[in-house]
Amino acid sequence: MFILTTFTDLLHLPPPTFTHPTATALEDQINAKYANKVVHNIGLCISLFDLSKVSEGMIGQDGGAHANVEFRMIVFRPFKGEVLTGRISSATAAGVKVRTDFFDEVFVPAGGLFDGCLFDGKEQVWIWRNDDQDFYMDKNELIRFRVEGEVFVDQLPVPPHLKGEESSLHKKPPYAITASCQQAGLGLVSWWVEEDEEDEEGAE
Amino acid sequence: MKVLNPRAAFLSDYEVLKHLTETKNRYIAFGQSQGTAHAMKSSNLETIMKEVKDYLQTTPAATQSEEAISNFMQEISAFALEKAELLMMVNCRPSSIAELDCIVEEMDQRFSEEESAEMLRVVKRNLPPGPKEVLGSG
Repeated sequence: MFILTTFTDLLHLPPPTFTHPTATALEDQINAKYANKVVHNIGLCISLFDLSKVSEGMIGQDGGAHANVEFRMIVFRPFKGEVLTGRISSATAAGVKVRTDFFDEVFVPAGGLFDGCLFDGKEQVWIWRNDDQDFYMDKNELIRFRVEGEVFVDQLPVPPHLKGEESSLHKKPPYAITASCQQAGLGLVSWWVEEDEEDEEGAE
Repeated sequence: MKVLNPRAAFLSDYEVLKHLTETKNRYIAFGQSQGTAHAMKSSNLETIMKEVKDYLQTTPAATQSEEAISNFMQEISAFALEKAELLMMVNCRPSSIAELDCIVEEMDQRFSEEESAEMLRVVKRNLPPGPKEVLGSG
């Protein structure tokens, strides 16, 4: 689910940060710039993992220092085929939307659900009908899914004269994941909990 | 900004959780030595660190230890599994054959039923079950 990505960047340390050790000041600058942001075709940056290389500082116009820094970031970028868990945030006829605490843009399209799944428009919920039994995929349930694909949308600034018309394009998330639940073991976590597991745990 | 290596390494959930917990403790210790005004970092960092930590605390990573994972890796090496499959096993800690089947690609063709059961036993023996409330609230 998480990977390390190596970046290099030219970072600016304003004079007030000179009271801190350089490594701490750089860490703060890097985190302020990258944490909780999506880098195009890389993934969602979480936080700095470590610094690899720091060049000598060059004095800038404000008296601050500029330094070339090589560092590794923790990045959320699940690979294709990875199995993850999340919670159902909403359901429409098009599919089920899943979120984790920190990432909201997981979508399981209707075609990626089990065969025999149907959508109840009144309740806004997907139901898996299996062996004459109904399994409801309620909101906020823990769901296990397989990552099938990813979409990165470059968030380029929109020129003012196009702003009105293209506002819908602007709303697209920079990084979204499509997923599937079509295999035994996927779907709601509670469907696949084995009865004897609980006893074993109790005995241990 | 330049990306030198988009995928330098994979991290397990446990490693991420450990890194975040250590980082947070370091910030708190630093804040206490400097007065609390310094304890808060930029808001985007505080947000994502808290959210990722909250998420990982509900996964099996919360109960794992370095020792448990290395023991597990040693025992499971008897089976010819891919790196990605091992990573998912540690992160998801499958507790049933169905779950294991999702993680291991084409398990029925690569392994006999007995081998799969043994794999599941190795998982259960070495990796502690995830936090209880996950099963309860699910």
